[in-house]
Amino acid sequence: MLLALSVMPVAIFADDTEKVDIEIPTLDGVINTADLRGQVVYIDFWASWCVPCRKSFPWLNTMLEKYEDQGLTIIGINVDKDAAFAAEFLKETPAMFLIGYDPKATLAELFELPAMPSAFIVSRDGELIDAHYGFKTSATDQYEASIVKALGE
Amino acid sequence: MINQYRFLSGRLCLVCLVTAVLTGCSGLGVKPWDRDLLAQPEMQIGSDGLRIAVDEHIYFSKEATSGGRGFGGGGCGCN
Repeated sequence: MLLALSVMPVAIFADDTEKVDIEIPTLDGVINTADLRGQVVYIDFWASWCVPCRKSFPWLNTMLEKYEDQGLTIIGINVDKDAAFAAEFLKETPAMFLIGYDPKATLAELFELPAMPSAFIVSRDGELIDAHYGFKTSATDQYEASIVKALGE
Repeated sequence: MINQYRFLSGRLCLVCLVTAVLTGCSGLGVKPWDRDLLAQPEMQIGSDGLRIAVDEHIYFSKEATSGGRGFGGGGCGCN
């Protein structure tokens, strides 16, 4: 039983379907991923104290610019306890994509983030199809390839 | 009857103990999204970075400790 408990899958999915249905609070409302069916949703968890996150933002902006027309939505979910740090970070490192806030780490717990940053790709029909942990400038080709693959499906 | 009761409660205690031992430390560790708290100045072992660095160097190279607080060498003073 203990073994069974330790290998329980990530419970992001509503019921038994493989759909990612989460509500992400933003500064002026809530993003519901269920409303984004038809779009490829790239969910990126970041924090103000995380150096690789800072490096990932310009790349994420480029990706959005390049693939928005093809149906890419990027949501950066901040996990700072204090939103002031996030605001400071965003001033220094502007983001063109949507920003959500998860100060109580509810979504972080749900996705069982193993590292910061952690990114998840949700397909057009709402399935979690890819994830990568950490951000390495040398691996951006690989990250981009998984976005392109998701857009093509 | 009393013996049977003792036997059962003993077994129950054993089960609880084994469960506690097996799972006791499973929830420890800092979650990746909580590391900002560890990085706060008040969470550091010392307040003066330079002083910590000097202390570390002494531990590591002179005190014949096995790498001081980290694990960097054998204490021969040669590195």
